[in-house]
Amino acid sequence: MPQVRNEIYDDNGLVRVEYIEVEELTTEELIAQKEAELLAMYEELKALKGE
Amino acid sequence: MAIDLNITGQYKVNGVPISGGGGLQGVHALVPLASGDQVAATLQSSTSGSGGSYTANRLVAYPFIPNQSFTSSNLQITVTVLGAGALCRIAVYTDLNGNPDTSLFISSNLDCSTTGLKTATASINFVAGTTYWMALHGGTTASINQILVGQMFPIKYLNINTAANHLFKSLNFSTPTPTTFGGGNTLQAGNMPLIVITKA
Repeated sequence: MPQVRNEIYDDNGLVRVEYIEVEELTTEELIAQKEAELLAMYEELKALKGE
Repeated sequence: MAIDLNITGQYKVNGVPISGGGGLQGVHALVPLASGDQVAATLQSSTSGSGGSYTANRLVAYPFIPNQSFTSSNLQITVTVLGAGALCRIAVYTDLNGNPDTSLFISSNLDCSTTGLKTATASINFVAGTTYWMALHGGTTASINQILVGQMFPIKYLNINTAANHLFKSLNFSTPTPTTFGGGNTLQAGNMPLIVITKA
């Protein structure tokens, strides 16, 4: 099962690193995620261009 | 002749006391939260959390207006694409007349040269119906999960076609994130760093 790195900080800086197990994405979920990232980049481009 | 009429006592409907007020106090954190639940300044959930780069040497802020009072245990961001030597800080400010004012929390430097969750321990008392400003002060840039501009409410209109959803000021990252946000800010429309708040 894939893991996500989680760095825990307090006022003084990094305290510890944990690894959280996450469900593996299905192909459909991966496609949806990539589509969302593309859409976000498109929105960012439009915002930069002032559109 | 003037009549001064004062009515005191308790109103009841079918024997049940009633009071005024009620309704929404804020637009975020609408559903009751349990310990460990997480919320953010998003207004709708589609395509939430898409990655995008923050701007280096810029302090950005956007409003968070909770509909319920709660205390946080931490704030989180997610780095999706690392930046070599990248750092950022996240912060929460009070509001003064529609601008960020005094810091309630400023994180230590968060290392964005590795991907994954960055969790800043933060005990903040959020009060229902109060405007807070979630802020990110970017150093060398990296990509982090974002809230899309279309998922946020407008603050003010820049022109007839564009509504700003956040404000920012240029601020070198080597300068400490200010305890007082200050004026001279620029309103803008754009995707914002997704800062997730965890209830204690």
